[in-house]
Amino acid sequence: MPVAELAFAPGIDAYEPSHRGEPILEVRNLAVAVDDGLAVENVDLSLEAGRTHCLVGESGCGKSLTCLALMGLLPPGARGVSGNLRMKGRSGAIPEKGPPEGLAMIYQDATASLDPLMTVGRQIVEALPADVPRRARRAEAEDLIAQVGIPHARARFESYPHELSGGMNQRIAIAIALAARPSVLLADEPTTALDVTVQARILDLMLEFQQSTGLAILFVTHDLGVVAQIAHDVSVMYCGEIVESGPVTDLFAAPRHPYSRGLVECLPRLSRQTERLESIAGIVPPLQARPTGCRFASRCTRADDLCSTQRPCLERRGNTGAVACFNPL
Amino acid sequence: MLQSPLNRRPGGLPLLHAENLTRIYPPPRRGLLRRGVGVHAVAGVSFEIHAGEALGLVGESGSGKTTIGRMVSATLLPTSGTVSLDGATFTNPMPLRRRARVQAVFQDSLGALNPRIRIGRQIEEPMIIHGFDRDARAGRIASLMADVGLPHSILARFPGEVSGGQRQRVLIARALVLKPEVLVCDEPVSALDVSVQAQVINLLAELRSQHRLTILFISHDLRVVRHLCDRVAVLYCGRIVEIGPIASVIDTPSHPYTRALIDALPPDQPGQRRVPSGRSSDAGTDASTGAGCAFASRCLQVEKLCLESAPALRPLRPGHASACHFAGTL
Repeated sequence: MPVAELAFAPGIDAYEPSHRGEPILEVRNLAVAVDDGLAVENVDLSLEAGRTHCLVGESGCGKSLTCLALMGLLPPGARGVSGNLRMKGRSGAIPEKGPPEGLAMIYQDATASLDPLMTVGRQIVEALPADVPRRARRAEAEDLIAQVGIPHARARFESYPHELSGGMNQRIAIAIALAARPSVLLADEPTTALDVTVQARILDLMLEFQQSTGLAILFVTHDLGVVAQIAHDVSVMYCGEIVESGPVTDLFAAPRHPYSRGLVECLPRLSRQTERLESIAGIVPPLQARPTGCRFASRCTRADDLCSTQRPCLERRGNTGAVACFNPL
Repeated sequence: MLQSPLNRRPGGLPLLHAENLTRIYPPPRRGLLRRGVGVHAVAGVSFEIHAGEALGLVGESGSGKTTIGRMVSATLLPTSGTVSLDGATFTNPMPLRRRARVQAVFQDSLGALNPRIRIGRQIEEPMIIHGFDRDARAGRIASLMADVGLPHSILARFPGEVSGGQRQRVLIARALVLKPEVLVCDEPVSALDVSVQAQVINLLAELRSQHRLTILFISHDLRVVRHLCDRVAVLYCGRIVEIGPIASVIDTPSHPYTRALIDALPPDQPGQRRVPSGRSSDAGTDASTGAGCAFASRCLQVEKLCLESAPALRPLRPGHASACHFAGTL
């Protein structure tokens, strides 16, 4: 990838391919089974230090389930998970229970993800690595509170989640995630429920941490605006599968999959006021009624006979990116 | 831009007029007799909407958007101030026929529908209350289903059985069933996925031009407001801090808060760097603050004057007003 294409990325110097190390986290063939079938299938992901990979798609496409599966936190409805995980050179099957070391996650509803009966300070202390001595733990937690931009850290240490706003709680959630000193952070729509002004500050905060620690971030969102702001790489998910994957500039400038194009086009923009917004006709087929061929075929304007009988696989196209489509744009 | 022929008739009377709207939520009890202090959710808000016009109302959570929407749709009484439609003030109770002229669509479509009543019956109910006969009801529902793009089969289903986008269309159909002139939309697309959000925004735009609807559109997303509205009012702590034509407000924001809202939006394309702005504290929700500008504690251009006296909403250009002491020099 040419350096120039990446140089714009907010606050992060360009990573040249030759300078880019091995991926920190590689996922191969992730599948999650639920009662009605496979909710997530054939998902490959690769995360690199200091880079943000965005996972985009509509509700029910399996974005959150992908994160939860990686964390070993499958919801009660899930039957099982399969796939391989390679992290810092070590590889193995995806663990069914408990997160692999070095992985931390923040959730959409921060207030609900915190324990209402415990002070936020104690919740941070709890997440610190075991080798931090007992005397230093409180000071370290207060440090983290200050680092995530909350004033009066000492006083806030004693606060309960209900005493703080949604934005503040999301900062606490970030502090908890960072307390374990992860090398990979999974963020499941952490700003969707927040005001735009608060969202902007939370995203800035995550970027600052990424710059100073080289954190790899997997960021799940359905807001293409957020993708444009923070992503280096993007994977577009539809019906449990990744349909397009590549650098963020390619997705916005020249999306290859008709679904990706639809997503980019239907974003309302401040700089442009058109008579009509583009929209993708139809709805996402439910899990029980997924078509045998391409899962997007019934909503696609480019679909032909092949699309309704055969499933396209994710294939490399050109130098960058991959797309799962028989008739790519 | 979606312009209706009736928009901004020079000298014409506005269809809807909100004057000096104030709403104080009663304080919680503290102990047996003592009461806490009430929250001024909305303080002295005035605006007009002409027939066929769409006014956007933007602001952060807690700024009083929903409270204004509920007062305008006559589901909440103002503590003081009035809302009037065609010169006639809202009263409590309100005559049925006048109530039918203002209808509302809410964000939480699952919460706004009764989960145990079939969708068809819920759309029909307002017409039963207003005394339409059976044939008229069936005919109206059939034409509405076509208008909002729903299959007839959905009428026999329960709200929990259909998708979020379809439920939002059901809410729009139910709001339109009595042929209202004014539609209050409270964050109607915020809970929807982008592709469905685009469908519903397009639907609202179509319905607006087809039925010459007058719309009060409440949203926290300026991008959506830009697509649908002619004018926009920016709300902070229960007061309007800026109001004007949408293009004018977005291109030349004249209040530091409006600028902060615009700067906080994610970019349209990768590589358009957003500039961080504003101080990092959360928005207040109570308009009963002491002297000075309510935004002063978050404002980057704050001066001595801002802490001493609260700025009034003053016109800058025709139709564009701002409540900032330094609006002209921003």
